[in-house]
Amino acid sequence: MEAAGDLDRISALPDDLLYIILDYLPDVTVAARTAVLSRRWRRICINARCLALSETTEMTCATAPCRFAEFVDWVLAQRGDDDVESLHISMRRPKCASVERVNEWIRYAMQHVVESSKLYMPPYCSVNDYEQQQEAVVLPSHGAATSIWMDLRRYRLQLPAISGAVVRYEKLTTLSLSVSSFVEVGGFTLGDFVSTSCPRLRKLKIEC
Amino acid sequence: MAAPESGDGNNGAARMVTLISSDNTRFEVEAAAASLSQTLQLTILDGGGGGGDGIPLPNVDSATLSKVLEYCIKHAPAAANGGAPNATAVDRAELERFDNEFVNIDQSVLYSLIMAAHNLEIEGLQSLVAKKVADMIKGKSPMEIRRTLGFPDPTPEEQAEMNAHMLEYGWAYE
Repeated sequence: MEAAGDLDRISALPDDLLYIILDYLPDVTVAARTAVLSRRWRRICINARCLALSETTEMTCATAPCRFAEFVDWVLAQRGDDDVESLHISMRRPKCASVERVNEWIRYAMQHVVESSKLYMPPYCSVNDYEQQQEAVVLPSHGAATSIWMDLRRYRLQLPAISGAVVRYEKLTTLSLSVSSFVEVGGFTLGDFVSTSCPRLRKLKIEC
Repeated sequence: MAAPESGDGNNGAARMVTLISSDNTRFEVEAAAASLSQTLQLTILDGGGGGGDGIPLPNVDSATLSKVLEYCIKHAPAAANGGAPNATAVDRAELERFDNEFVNIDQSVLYSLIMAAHNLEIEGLQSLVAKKVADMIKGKSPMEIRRTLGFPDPTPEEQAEMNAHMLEYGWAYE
């Protein structure tokens, strides 16, 4: 092998192998550092089997506008309709994502994640930020994941209404919800949800 | 080099097989070691690779193949035991030490190795090298990664696209 030809060998690796390498770089913000290097790497990073999007910045709510939520939107939009094995989103500054945005992420996760779905948002930025906690995020009527973990104590969680489609979380075995409280619609209670919609559920943790 | 073992090798000597690299070097190795490759395993089970025949590997050069076999020979006993059950903590620590040293090599060799591991379907080796490459990326800035991995210079078009992307999502790369 010629030395000069060796330099570009990593770019010559097939996609399969780049995906395997990325499995060892689970945090996309780390993996994304490689994405900027070329269009191909960016495509590979975004389409990795497991996506962990965590905000790494130490900045507080008061400083610089947060781009993290936009970054999450961008990554999800790039992926389109493909399923993802696991999706973990972890924010540091809750005010930077509106409740509508968080709802979009939850919808996306319930639809596309087949194994583990995790969503974390700190309860508040500062002690002056208690009031907004009455906003509710919505749990969709269907979920594909085997494990759902949501720590969204900033929000209430609205359960799906029974009047709509039948509520099915067919493959769900582990459910952990930490929210400020639950909103039950049309008489469909949290107990109903757990006992009728999640036939395979084995582990349950509820905190509010 | 020992004479090729043509029989089953039930008594005493282990069965040997011959692998032939792309540059026509012949490697004689225990069948158990070569069988770490899923690709080779079937051929070997069918009795291939014994005697003067040898199994040609047109995609693997001799330098890479000798490295691959070094890994297989070291890992074959543990693999034969089904991995963990019989392995003592000392054995595992020794394998770990070997693995760490094994990937402490030139990058060009790493890439050849991971390609070979991929083609030959040697999962352990493939993971080992993938993890090493990932470790080289971790905690580095884009420019450092570019240097570390020896990326080629981007085309002007690619550069413009990258600049636009950096402007928008640069924070993710800090």
